[in-house]
Amino acid sequence: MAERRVAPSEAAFENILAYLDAAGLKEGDRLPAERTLTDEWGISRTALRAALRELIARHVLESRGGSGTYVAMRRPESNCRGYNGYSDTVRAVGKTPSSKVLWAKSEVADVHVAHKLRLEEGDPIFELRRVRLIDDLPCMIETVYINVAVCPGIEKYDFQERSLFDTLRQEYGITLPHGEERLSITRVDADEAEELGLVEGDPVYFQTGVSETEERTPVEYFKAVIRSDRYTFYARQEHLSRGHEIPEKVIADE
Amino acid sequence: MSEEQKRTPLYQQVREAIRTKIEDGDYGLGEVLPSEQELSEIFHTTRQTVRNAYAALEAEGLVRRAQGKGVFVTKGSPGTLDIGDGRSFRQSTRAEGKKPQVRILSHETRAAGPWYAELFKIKPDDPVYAIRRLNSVDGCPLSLERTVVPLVRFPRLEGIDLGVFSLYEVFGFYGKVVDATFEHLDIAELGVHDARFLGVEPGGPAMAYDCISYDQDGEAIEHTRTLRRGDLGFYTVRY
Repeated sequence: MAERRVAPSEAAFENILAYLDAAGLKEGDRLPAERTLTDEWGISRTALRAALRELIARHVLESRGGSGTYVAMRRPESNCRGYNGYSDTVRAVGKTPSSKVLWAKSEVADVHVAHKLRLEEGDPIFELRRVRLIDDLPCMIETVYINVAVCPGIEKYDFQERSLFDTLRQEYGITLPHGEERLSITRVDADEAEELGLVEGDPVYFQTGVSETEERTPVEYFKAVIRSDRYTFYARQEHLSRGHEIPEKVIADE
Repeated sequence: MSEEQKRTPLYQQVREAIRTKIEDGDYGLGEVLPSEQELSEIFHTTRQTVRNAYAALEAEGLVRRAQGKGVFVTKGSPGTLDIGDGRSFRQSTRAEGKKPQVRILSHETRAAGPWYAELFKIKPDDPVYAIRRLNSVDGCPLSLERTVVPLVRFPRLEGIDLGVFSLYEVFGFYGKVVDATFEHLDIAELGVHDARFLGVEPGGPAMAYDCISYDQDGEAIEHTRTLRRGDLGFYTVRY
Protein backbone atom coordinates (compact mmCIF):
# COMPACT_ATOMS: atom_id res chain seq x y z
CA MET A 1 0.00 0.00 0.00
CA ALA A 2 1.34 3.39 -0.97
CA GLU A 3 2.34 5.52 1.92
CA ARG A 4 1.44 9.14 2.03
CA ARG A 5 4.24 11.56 2.66
CA VAL A 6 3.56 13.40 5.87
CA ALA A 7 2.63 17.04 5.24
CA PRO A 8 5.68 19.27 5.85
CA SER A 9 4.11 21.30 8.66
CA GLU A 10 2.89 18.12 10.34
CA ALA A 11 6.33 16.55 10.04
CA ALA A 12 7.92 19.71 11.44
CA PHE A 13 5.45 19.69 14.34
CA GLU A 14 6.30 16.09 15.25
CA ASN A 15 10.02 16.69 14.72
CA ILE A 16 10.03 19.57 17.19
CA LEU A 17 8.09 17.57 19.79
CA ALA A 18 10.49 14.66 19.44
CA TYR A 19 13.46 17.02 19.56
CA LEU A 20 12.24 18.67 22.81
CA ASP A 21 12.08 15.22 24.43
CA ALA A 22 15.35 13.92 22.99
CA ALA A 23 17.33 17.07 23.75
CA GLY A 24 15.76 17.30 27.21
CA LEU A 25 14.76 20.92 26.74
CA LYS A 26 12.97 22.35 29.75
CA GLU A 27 10.77 25.32 30.56
CA GLY A 28 12.46 28.58 29.62
CA ASP A 29 15.05 26.94 27.33
CA ARG A 30 15.47 28.62 23.99
CA LEU A 31 14.88 26.75 20.75
CA PRO A 32 17.73 26.81 18.22
CA ALA A 33 17.48 29.40 15.46
CA GLU A 34 14.96 28.72 12.68
CA ARG A 35 17.76 28.33 10.16
CA THR A 36 19.41 25.56 12.19
CA LEU A 37 16.15 23.61 12.38
CA THR A 38 15.17 24.01 8.72
CA ASP A 39 18.64 22.84 7.65
CA GLU A 40 18.66 19.97 10.14
CA TRP A 41 15.31 18.58 9.02
CA GLY A 42 15.36 19.69 5.40
CA ILE A 43 12.08 21.57 5.67
CA SER A 44 10.93 24.97 4.52
CA ARG A 45 10.75 27.99 6.74
CA THR A 46 7.00 28.15 6.03
CA ALA A 47 6.48 24.61 7.33
CA LEU A 48 8.59 25.31 10.40
CA ARG A 49 6.69 28.47 11.22
CA ALA A 50 3.32 26.74 10.85
CA ALA A 51 4.52 24.07 13.28
CA LEU A 52 5.83 26.67 15.74
CA ARG A 53 2.50 28.51 15.64
CA GLU A 54 0.63 25.31 16.46
CA LEU A 55 3.02 24.46 19.32
CA ILE A 56 2.63 27.97 20.73
CA ALA A 57 -1.17 27.63 20.51
CA ARG A 58 -0.87 24.35 22.41
CA HIS A 59 1.18 26.02 25.16
CA VAL A 60 4.19 23.82 24.44
CA LEU A 61 6.29 26.76 23.25
CA GLU A 62 6.10 30.49 23.72
CA SER A 63 7.27 33.34 21.57
CA ARG A 64 9.12 36.19 23.26
CA GLY A 65 8.95 39.09 20.90
CA GLY A 66 12.04 39.28 18.76
CA SER A 67 14.24 37.14 20.96
CA GLY A 68 13.04 33.76 19.73
CA THR A 69 10.97 30.79 20.74
CA TYR A 70 11.20 29.18 24.16
CA VAL A 71 9.81 26.14 25.91
CA ALA A 72 6.64 27.37 27.64
CA MET A 73 5.97 27.39 31.36
CA ARG A 74 5.40 23.96 32.79
CA ARG A 75 1.80 24.05 33.92
CA PRO A 76 0.61 22.53 37.17
CA GLU A 77 -1.73 19.64 36.52
CA SER A 78 -4.90 18.71 38.33
CA ASN A 79 -6.23 15.17 38.29
CA CYS A 80 -9.81 16.51 38.36
CA ARG A 81 -10.41 15.49 41.96
CA GLY A 82 -11.35 18.76 43.62
CA TYR A 83 -9.08 21.41 45.02
CA ASN A 84 -7.54 19.57 47.91
CA GLY A 85 -4.27 19.59 46.07
CA TYR A 86 -4.09 22.97 44.36
CA SER A 87 -0.99 24.09 46.25
CA ASP A 88 0.57 20.66 45.88
CA THR A 89 0.02 20.66 42.12
CA VAL A 90 1.82 23.99 41.88
CA ARG A 91 4.73 22.85 44.10
CA ALA A 92 4.99 19.64 42.10
CA VAL A 93 6.24 21.63 39.11
CA GLY A 94 8.68 23.60 41.24
CA LYS A 95 6.60 26.74 41.55
CA THR A 96 5.25 28.77 44.43
CA PRO A 97 1.51 28.94 45.02
CA SER A 98 -0.10 31.97 46.64
CA SER A 99 -3.54 33.43 47.10
CA LYS A 100 -5.09 36.85 47.17
CA VAL A 101 -8.34 36.93 49.10
CA LEU A 102 -10.96 39.03 47.32
CA TRP A 103 -13.40 38.44 50.13
CA ALA A 104 -14.11 36.04 52.95
CA LYS A 105 -17.41 36.45 54.72
CA SER A 106 -20.39 34.92 56.42
CA GLU A 107 -23.39 34.76 54.13
CA VAL A 108 -26.69 32.99 53.71
CA ALA A 109 -27.19 30.42 51.00
CA ASP A 110 -29.20 31.48 47.96
CA VAL A 111 -31.42 28.92 46.29
CA HIS A 112 -28.64 27.69 43.97
CA VAL A 113 -25.92 27.27 46.60
CA ALA A 114 -28.43 25.74 49.01
CA HIS A 115 -29.35 23.13 46.42
CA LYS A 116 -25.70 22.23 45.81
CA LEU A 117 -24.89 21.91 49.52
CA ARG A 118 -28.21 20.22 50.30
CA LEU A 119 -29.15 23.07 52.63
CA GLU A 120 -32.20 25.28 52.93
CA GLU A 121 -32.23 28.69 51.33
CA GLY A 122 -31.10 31.18 53.98
CA ASP A 123 -28.92 28.72 55.88
CA PRO A 124 -25.57 30.18 56.96
CA ILE A 125 -22.57 29.65 54.71
CA PHE A 126 -19.01 30.91 54.51
CA GLU A 127 -18.08 32.40 51.17
CA LEU A 128 -14.44 32.72 50.14
CA ARG A 129 -13.29 34.20 46.85
CA ARG A 130 -9.62 34.12 45.99
CA VAL A 131 -7.32 34.74 43.08
CA ARG A 132 -4.86 31.88 43.05
CA LEU A 133 -1.43 32.58 41.69
CA ILE A 134 1.60 30.67 40.46
CA ASP A 135 4.89 32.46 41.02
CA ASP A 136 2.84 35.64 41.43
CA LEU A 137 1.07 35.19 38.08
CA PRO A 138 -2.74 35.01 38.33
CA CYS A 139 -3.99 31.57 37.40
CA MET A 140 -7.60 31.28 38.52
CA ILE A 141 -10.41 32.95 40.41
CA GLU A 142 -11.98 30.50 42.76
CA THR A 143 -15.10 30.93 44.86
CA VAL A 144 -16.01 28.41 47.53
CA TYR A 145 -19.16 28.16 49.59
CA ILE A 146 -18.79 26.24 52.82
CA ASN A 147 -21.54 24.82 54.97
CA VAL A 148 -20.57 26.51 58.25
CA ALA A 149 -22.79 24.20 60.28
CA VAL A 150 -19.97 21.63 60.10
CA CYS A 151 -17.17 24.13 60.78
CA PRO A 152 -18.44 26.97 62.97
CA GLY A 153 -15.98 29.84 63.28
CA ILE A 154 -14.26 29.11 59.94
CA GLU A 155 -14.55 32.81 59.05
CA LYS A 156 -11.98 33.65 61.75
CA TYR A 157 -9.07 32.18 59.79
CA ASP A 158 -6.95 34.09 57.29
CA PHE A 159 -7.06 32.23 53.99
CA GLN A 160 -4.54 34.53 52.39
CA GLU A 161 -1.93 32.40 54.12
CA ARG A 162 -3.74 29.26 55.19
CA SER A 163 -4.94 26.38 53.13
CA LEU A 164 -8.69 25.92 53.40
CA PHE A 165 -8.38 22.16 53.30
CA ASP A 166 -5.65 22.03 55.91
CA THR A 167 -7.81 24.21 58.15
CA LEU A 168 -10.83 21.97 57.71
CA ARG A 169 -8.73 18.92 58.48
CA GLN A 170 -6.65 20.27 61.35
CA GLU A 171 -9.23 22.42 63.13
CA TYR A 172 -12.41 20.50 62.39
CA GLY A 173 -11.28 16.99 61.53
CA ILE A 174 -13.03 17.21 58.15
CA THR A 175 -11.58 15.51 55.11
CA LEU A 176 -13.20 15.64 51.69
CA PRO A 177 -12.30 12.45 49.83
CA HIS A 178 -15.41 12.39 47.60
CA GLY A 179 -17.19 14.70 45.27
CA GLU A 180 -18.14 15.59 41.77
CA GLU A 181 -16.27 17.93 39.50
CA ARG A 182 -17.34 19.37 36.19
CA LEU A 183 -15.19 21.09 33.63
CA SER A 184 -16.35 23.17 30.68
CA ILE A 185 -15.32 26.28 28.77
CA THR A 186 -16.59 29.79 29.33
CA ARG A 187 -15.48 33.29 28.39
CA VAL A 188 -14.30 35.78 30.97
CA ASP A 189 -16.31 38.88 31.68
CA ALA A 190 -14.68 42.28 32.23
CA ASP A 191 -14.09 41.81 36.00
CA GLU A 192 -12.63 38.34 35.62
CA ALA A 193 -10.45 39.48 32.73
CA GLU A 194 -8.96 42.23 34.85
CA GLU A 195 -8.11 39.92 37.75
CA LEU A 196 -6.62 37.29 35.46
CA GLY A 197 -4.76 39.61 33.11
CA LEU A 198 -6.85 38.54 30.12
CA VAL A 199 -9.04 40.29 27.58
CA GLU A 200 -12.82 40.18 28.05
CA GLY A 201 -14.21 37.24 26.10
CA ASP A 202 -11.05 35.10 26.27
CA PRO A 203 -11.88 31.41 26.73
CA VAL A 204 -11.05 29.84 30.09
CA TYR A 205 -11.91 26.66 31.92
CA PHE A 206 -15.03 26.87 34.02
CA GLN A 207 -14.83 24.37 36.80
CA THR A 208 -17.46 23.66 39.36
CA GLY A 209 -18.07 20.94 41.86
CA VAL A 210 -19.03 19.75 45.27
CA SER A 211 -16.65 18.14 47.77
CA GLU A 212 -18.00 15.61 50.23
CA THR A 213 -16.92 13.91 53.40
CA GLU A 214 -16.33 10.19 53.78
CA GLU A 215 -20.05 9.94 54.65
CA ARG A 216 -20.93 11.83 51.43
CA THR A 217 -22.05 14.97 53.21
CA PRO A 218 -21.43 17.97 50.95
CA VAL A 219 -19.28 20.54 52.74
CA GLU A 220 -18.02 22.71 49.93
CA TYR A 221 -19.41 23.92 46.62
CA PHE A 222 -16.78 25.55 44.44
CA LYS A 223 -16.48 27.22 41.09
CA ALA A 224 -13.50 28.63 39.31
CA VAL A 225 -12.46 30.30 36.08
CA ILE A 226 -9.01 29.12 35.11
CA ARG A 227 -6.43 30.24 32.56
CA SER A 228 -5.65 27.33 30.26
CA ASP A 229 -2.12 28.57 29.59
CA ARG A 230 -1.26 28.41 33.30
CA TYR A 231 -3.08 25.33 34.50
CA THR A 232 -4.06 22.01 33.01
CA PHE A 233 -5.98 18.84 33.71
CA TYR A 234 -5.30 15.20 33.16
CA ALA A 235 -7.01 11.91 33.77
CA ARG A 236 -5.32 8.57 34.16
CA GLN A 237 -7.39 5.42 34.10
CA GLU A 238 -6.02 1.98 34.79
CA HIS A 239 -7.24 -1.62 34.76
CA LEU A 240 -10.10 -0.68 32.48
CA SER A 241 -10.23 -4.11 30.86
CA ARG A 242 -11.42 -5.69 34.09
CA GLY A 243 -14.67 -3.79 33.84
CA HIS A 244 -15.09 -3.84 30.09
CA GLU A 245 -14.92 -7.14 28.31
CA ILE A 246 -15.39 -7.29 24.56
CA PRO A 247 -17.09 -4.09 23.42
CA GLU A 248 -20.72 -4.33 22.44
CA LYS A 249 -21.68 -4.87 18.81
CA VAL A 250 -21.58 -1.57 17.02
CA ILE A 251 -24.21 -0.74 14.45
CA ALA A 252 -23.07 0.81 11.21
CA ASP A 253 -23.89 4.41 10.56
CA GLU A 254 -26.28 4.95 7.75
CA MET B 1 -15.12 48.67 49.48
CA SER B 2 -18.38 48.15 51.30
CA GLU B 3 -19.55 44.72 52.34
CA GLU B 4 -22.36 44.85 49.82
CA GLN B 5 -19.99 45.33 46.89
CA LYS B 6 -17.68 42.55 48.06
CA ARG B 7 -19.85 39.79 46.68
CA THR B 8 -20.03 37.99 43.40
CA PRO B 9 -22.05 40.38 41.24
CA LEU B 10 -25.62 39.13 41.37
CA TYR B 11 -25.92 38.81 37.63
CA GLN B 12 -22.92 36.43 37.72
CA GLN B 13 -24.62 34.28 40.33
CA VAL B 14 -27.75 34.13 38.22
CA ARG B 15 -25.69 33.45 35.09
CA GLU B 16 -23.90 30.53 36.69
CA ALA B 17 -27.06 29.13 38.20
CA ILE B 18 -28.76 29.08 34.79
CA ARG B 19 -25.66 27.66 33.13
CA THR B 20 -25.63 24.83 35.66
CA LYS B 21 -29.32 24.16 35.02
CA ILE B 22 -28.65 23.91 31.28
CA GLU B 23 -25.64 21.66 31.86
CA ASP B 24 -27.62 19.51 34.26
CA GLY B 25 -30.17 19.06 31.47
CA ASP B 26 -32.94 20.69 33.52
CA TYR B 27 -33.49 22.99 30.54
CA GLY B 28 -33.15 21.25 27.18
CA LEU B 29 -32.24 22.52 23.75
CA GLY B 30 -34.94 24.80 22.37
CA GLU B 31 -36.82 25.04 25.65
CA VAL B 32 -37.98 28.32 27.07
CA LEU B 33 -36.28 29.60 30.22
CA PRO B 34 -38.09 31.25 33.14
CA SER B 35 -39.12 34.85 32.56
CA GLU B 36 -37.15 37.75 33.98
CA GLN B 37 -39.97 38.28 36.46
CA GLU B 38 -39.91 34.67 37.67
CA LEU B 39 -36.13 34.57 38.05
CA SER B 40 -35.99 37.91 39.81
CA GLU B 41 -38.39 36.49 42.42
CA ILE B 42 -36.43 33.25 42.82
CA PHE B 43 -33.15 35.13 43.31
CA HIS B 44 -34.64 38.05 45.22
CA THR B 45 -33.20 40.48 42.74
CA THR B 46 -34.27 42.96 40.09
CA ARG B 47 -35.37 42.20 36.57
CA GLN B 48 -32.44 44.28 35.33
CA THR B 49 -30.02 41.89 37.05
CA VAL B 50 -31.68 38.91 35.39
CA ARG B 51 -31.60 40.75 32.08
CA ASN B 52 -27.85 41.27 32.49
CA ALA B 53 -27.37 37.58 33.26
CA TYR B 54 -29.34 36.58 30.16
CA ALA B 55 -27.33 39.08 28.09
CA ALA B 56 -24.08 37.46 29.28
CA LEU B 57 -25.41 33.98 28.49
CA GLU B 58 -26.53 35.16 25.06
CA ALA B 59 -23.03 36.53 24.41
CA GLU B 60 -21.69 33.08 25.32
CA GLY B 61 -24.09 31.49 22.86
CA LEU B 62 -26.01 29.47 25.43
CA VAL B 63 -29.34 31.19 25.03
CA ARG B 64 -31.22 33.34 22.53
CA ARG B 65 -33.61 36.12 23.47
CA ALA B 66 -36.60 36.52 21.19
CA GLN B 67 -38.47 39.78 21.51
CA GLY B 68 -41.85 39.23 23.14
CA LYS B 69 -41.43 35.45 23.21
CA GLY B 70 -38.91 34.77 25.92
CA VAL B 71 -35.43 33.33 26.32
CA PHE B 72 -34.58 29.98 24.75
CA VAL B 73 -31.81 27.44 25.22
CA THR B 74 -29.72 27.32 22.04
CA LYS B 75 -26.91 25.05 23.18
CA GLY B 76 -28.19 21.89 24.70
CA SER B 77 -25.83 19.61 26.46
CA PRO B 78 -25.25 16.27 24.77
CA GLY B 79 -24.61 15.00 28.24
CA THR B 80 -21.68 14.16 30.37
CA LEU B 81 -18.59 12.44 29.20
CA ASP B 82 -16.59 10.68 31.79
CA ILE B 83 -12.95 11.29 31.11
CA GLY B 84 -11.05 8.37 29.60
CA ASP B 85 -13.35 5.71 30.94
CA GLY B 86 -12.27 3.17 28.36
CA ARG B 87 -15.49 3.25 26.44
CA SER B 88 -15.79 4.20 22.81
CA PHE B 89 -17.62 7.32 21.77
CA ARG B 90 -20.46 5.14 20.50
CA GLN B 91 -20.74 3.13 23.68
CA SER B 92 -20.85 6.13 25.98
CA THR B 93 -23.30 7.97 23.74
CA ARG B 94 -25.65 4.97 23.57
CA ALA B 95 -25.42 4.59 27.32
CA GLU B 96 -27.02 8.02 27.53
CA GLY B 97 -29.85 6.92 25.27
CA LYS B 98 -28.61 9.02 22.36
CA LYS B 99 -27.72 8.17 18.82
CA PRO B 100 -24.03 8.31 17.90
CA GLN B 101 -22.78 8.78 14.34
CA VAL B 102 -19.19 8.41 13.25
CA ARG B 103 -18.08 9.70 9.87
CA ILE B 104 -14.64 8.88 8.53
CA LEU B 105 -13.16 12.04 7.02
CA SER B 106 -9.85 10.57 5.93
CA HIS B 107 -7.57 7.63 6.52
CA GLU B 108 -4.04 6.97 5.42
CA THR B 109 -0.92 4.98 6.01
CA ARG B 110 2.21 6.99 6.73
CA ALA B 111 5.64 6.65 8.28
CA ALA B 112 5.67 6.93 12.06
CA GLY B 113 8.27 9.69 12.20
CA PRO B 114 10.33 10.37 15.32
CA TRP B 115 7.54 11.27 17.73
CA TYR B 116 5.20 8.34 17.07
CA ALA B 117 8.23 6.02 16.86
CA GLU B 118 9.15 6.95 20.43
CA LEU B 119 5.55 6.66 21.65
CA PHE B 120 4.87 3.26 20.10
CA LYS B 121 8.43 1.95 20.51
CA ILE B 122 8.75 1.33 16.78
CA LYS B 123 11.14 2.58 14.09
CA PRO B 124 10.59 5.99 12.48
CA ASP B 125 10.12 4.27 9.10
CA ASP B 126 7.51 1.82 10.41
CA PRO B 127 4.00 2.50 9.11
CA VAL B 128 1.25 3.96 11.23
CA TYR B 129 -2.39 4.35 10.28
CA ALA B 130 -3.98 7.78 10.74
CA ILE B 131 -7.75 8.25 10.77
CA ARG B 132 -9.79 11.43 11.07
CA ARG B 133 -13.34 11.08 12.26
CA LEU B 134 -16.26 13.37 12.92
CA ASN B 135 -18.49 12.30 15.79
CA SER B 136 -22.07 13.48 16.05
CA VAL B 137 -24.78 12.95 18.63
CA ASP B 138 -28.40 12.88 17.46
CA GLY B 139 -27.27 14.53 14.23
CA CYS B 140 -25.38 17.35 15.91
CA PRO B 141 -21.59 17.50 15.25
CA LEU B 142 -19.73 17.22 18.53
CA SER B 143 -16.08 16.34 18.08
CA LEU B 144 -13.27 15.76 15.61
CA GLU B 145 -10.81 12.99 16.30
CA ARG B 146 -7.48 12.22 14.79
CA THR B 147 -6.28 8.78 15.73
CA VAL B 148 -2.92 7.17 15.01
CA VAL B 149 -2.24 3.46 15.57
CA PRO B 150 0.93 1.48 14.88
CA LEU B 151 0.39 -0.95 11.98
CA VAL B 152 3.16 -3.19 13.29
CA ARG B 153 0.74 -4.27 16.05
CA PHE B 154 -2.35 -4.22 13.81
CA PRO B 155 -1.31 -5.58 10.41
CA ARG B 156 -3.92 -5.17 7.65
CA LEU B 157 -5.90 -2.73 9.76
CA GLU B 158 -6.28 -0.57 6.65
CA GLY B 159 -8.69 -3.16 5.27
CA ILE B 160 -11.16 -2.80 8.14
CA ASP B 161 -13.95 -0.26 7.75
CA LEU B 162 -13.88 1.94 10.82
CA GLY B 163 -17.25 3.33 9.79
CA VAL B 164 -18.62 -0.11 10.61
CA PHE B 165 -16.47 -1.27 13.51
CA SER B 166 -15.35 0.84 16.43
CA LEU B 167 -11.65 1.06 17.04
CA TYR B 168 -12.09 -0.78 20.33
CA GLU B 169 -13.84 -3.61 18.51
CA VAL B 170 -10.98 -3.76 16.03
CA PHE B 171 -8.46 -3.92 18.87
CA GLY B 172 -10.44 -6.93 20.07
CA PHE B 173 -9.94 -8.64 16.67
CA TYR B 174 -6.21 -8.57 17.43
CA GLY B 175 -6.68 -9.82 20.97
CA LYS B 176 -5.92 -6.44 22.48
CA VAL B 177 -7.95 -4.55 25.04
CA VAL B 178 -7.52 -0.96 26.13
CA ASP B 179 -6.46 -1.39 29.73
CA ALA B 180 -5.27 2.11 30.57
CA THR B 181 -5.67 5.61 29.21
CA PHE B 182 -3.76 8.78 29.89
CA GLU B 183 -5.56 11.89 28.86
CA HIS B 184 -4.46 15.50 28.84
CA LEU B 185 -6.82 18.45 28.49
CA ASP B 186 -6.39 21.85 26.94
CA ILE B 187 -8.42 24.62 25.38
CA ALA B 188 -7.85 25.11 21.67
CA GLU B 189 -9.00 27.65 19.14
CA LEU B 190 -10.79 26.08 16.17
CA GLY B 191 -9.28 26.69 12.75
CA VAL B 192 -11.43 27.42 9.72
CA HIS B 193 -11.69 23.82 8.49
CA ASP B 194 -12.28 22.23 11.86
CA ALA B 195 -14.89 24.86 12.73
CA ARG B 196 -16.74 24.15 9.49
CA PHE B 197 -16.93 20.42 10.26
CA LEU B 198 -18.22 21.16 13.73
CA GLY B 199 -20.68 23.76 12.51
CA VAL B 200 -19.33 26.63 14.60
CA GLU B 201 -17.63 29.94 13.97
CA PRO B 202 -13.87 29.82 13.27
CA GLY B 203 -11.85 30.84 16.31
CA GLY B 204 -14.42 29.40 18.69
CA PRO B 205 -12.99 27.51 21.64
CA ALA B 206 -12.81 23.74 21.77
CA MET B 207 -11.87 21.34 24.51
CA ALA B 208 -8.82 19.53 23.20
CA TYR B 209 -7.73 16.28 24.66
CA ASP B 210 -4.79 14.12 23.83
CA CYS B 211 -5.30 10.54 24.84
CA ILE B 212 -2.85 7.67 24.77
CA SER B 213 -4.31 4.19 25.19
CA TYR B 214 -2.33 1.23 26.48
CA ASP B 215 -3.15 -2.42 26.00
CA GLN B 216 -3.08 -5.18 28.64
CA ASP B 217 0.70 -5.51 28.16
CA GLY B 218 1.25 -1.82 28.89
CA GLU B 219 2.15 -0.99 25.29
CA ALA B 220 0.87 2.23 23.71
CA ILE B 221 -1.52 1.22 20.93
CA GLU B 222 -3.35 4.42 20.09
CA HIS B 223 -2.93 8.16 20.18
CA THR B 224 -6.01 10.31 19.66
CA ARG B 225 -6.34 14.05 19.68
CA THR B 226 -9.93 15.16 20.01
CA LEU B 227 -11.36 18.61 19.47
CA ARG B 228 -14.70 18.79 21.17
CA ARG B 229 -16.97 21.77 20.69
CA GLY B 230 -16.51 24.10 23.64
CA ASP B 231 -20.11 25.22 23.59
CA LEU B 232 -21.45 21.71 24.06
CA GLY B 233 -20.96 19.38 26.91
CA PHE B 234 -18.47 19.15 29.69
CA TYR B 235 -16.51 16.63 31.62
CA THR B 236 -17.74 15.20 34.84
CA VAL B 237 -15.62 13.31 37.32
CA ARG B 238 -17.11 11.62 40.35
CA TYR B 239 -14.84 10.37 43.07
